[in-house]
Amino acid sequence: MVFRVIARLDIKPPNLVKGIHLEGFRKLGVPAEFATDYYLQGIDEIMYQDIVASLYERPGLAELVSETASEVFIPISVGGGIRTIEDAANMVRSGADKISLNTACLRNPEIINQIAQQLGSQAVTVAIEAKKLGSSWTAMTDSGREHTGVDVVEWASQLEGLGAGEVLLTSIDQDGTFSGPDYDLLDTVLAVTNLPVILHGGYLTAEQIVISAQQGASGVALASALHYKKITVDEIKQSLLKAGVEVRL
Amino acid sequence: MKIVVADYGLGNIFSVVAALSRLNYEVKIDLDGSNVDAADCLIVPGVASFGAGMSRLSATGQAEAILAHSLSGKPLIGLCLGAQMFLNNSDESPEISGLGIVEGRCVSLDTKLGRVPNQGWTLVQQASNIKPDQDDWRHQYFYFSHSYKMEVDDKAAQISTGNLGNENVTATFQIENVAGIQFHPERSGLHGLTFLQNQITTLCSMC
Repeated sequence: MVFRVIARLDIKPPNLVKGIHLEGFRKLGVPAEFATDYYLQGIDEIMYQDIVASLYERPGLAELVSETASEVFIPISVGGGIRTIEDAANMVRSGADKISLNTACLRNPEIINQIAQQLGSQAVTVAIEAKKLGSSWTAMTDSGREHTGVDVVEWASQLEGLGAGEVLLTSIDQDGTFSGPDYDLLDTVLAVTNLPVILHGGYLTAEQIVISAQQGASGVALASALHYKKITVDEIKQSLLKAGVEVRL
Repeated sequence: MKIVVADYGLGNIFSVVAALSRLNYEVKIDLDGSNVDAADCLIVPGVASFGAGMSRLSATGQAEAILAHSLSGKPLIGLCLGAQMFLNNSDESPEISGLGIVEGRCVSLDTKLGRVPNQGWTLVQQASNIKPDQDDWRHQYFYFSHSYKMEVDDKAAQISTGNLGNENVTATFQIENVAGIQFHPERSGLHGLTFLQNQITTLCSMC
């Protein structure tokens, strides 16, 4: 399986932003420009996340998705405030290849299958925002603002049966910190699902990405590490190749 | 040359049109089969489930138009779900028939052999019975996103495969004027666009 290196762009329309532990977001620039730059560097996928959509009860990135899809010919995934089949279908019509659900599917797990029935499960990603709680992790919603009382591991184990195509696992504790990813979280979730798992949060070095690949992650989603130019796509892919991990060149 | 893209409400029509526009093709969208006749080349994309896709094609009248086009000898290209629907049926929606343009079926990817869906970049290798006139896309990575793989029965079909490690999947098939592409050339970077252009050119040169 070819390992994917994915760029994750948090959007507070119209800006690219980045926070720490999913809060305190700083403006970084024009999203489409960053996306194009990563595409030209050889990134495998672009993930857009509208971090305020669930506050305003609407998904608002359709225009950005269309703009990007016209210039950037790699897969585009979009999340944030997607609640209904119509929301998901509209995003796909606008140019998205995949949509990502969190808040909506924790409130109503059946929405996963409803959307998958229309778009196919490969187009439906479930995003989990995991916050450490005792010896496990708890699932948060609304971009890390709200508790659900749902255990992450329990939730992850159900997702294949609910019709999801992929899991995007964000470590809130590691997010934006550059202190390395949560390897335990990755291990624990990989053990309970057959779905592809993408880990997000805390990466600083190519070595950390190599370890995640060797653990069995299907890919990593990078934000701070790329936006703040700590590592380049080329460095990451060269390191992965050296370690015997197959990547797309 | 006029390329018509079938829009049945469930595809990633935007990215397909964006890719074709980037390649400088004249593109027209068809919503109900009425534009298919005028097409030099018809493209059927798809991001949806087999059942949902076939229901829509039947409801809009496009199913008939696509069938007629396949018999006309003019180029017909299916992308992802579009290609799968050219076959007889799919494990994804066992109670619904495909268009049956090409003999074959879609079967589930095996979860024992790897994570499903097959989501990501896969190396594609061309079959030995294909004339080596498309050197620029053999042994390259293309973007796949699917839970079902195509099995084509026609022995005359030219097939290339994607290697998932423990399992091979059909990446492309071509029989006469009909081509089916499992991956997303419109999402596989610049060489994906080149591949799409070559595919269109190859089929058109046979007309």
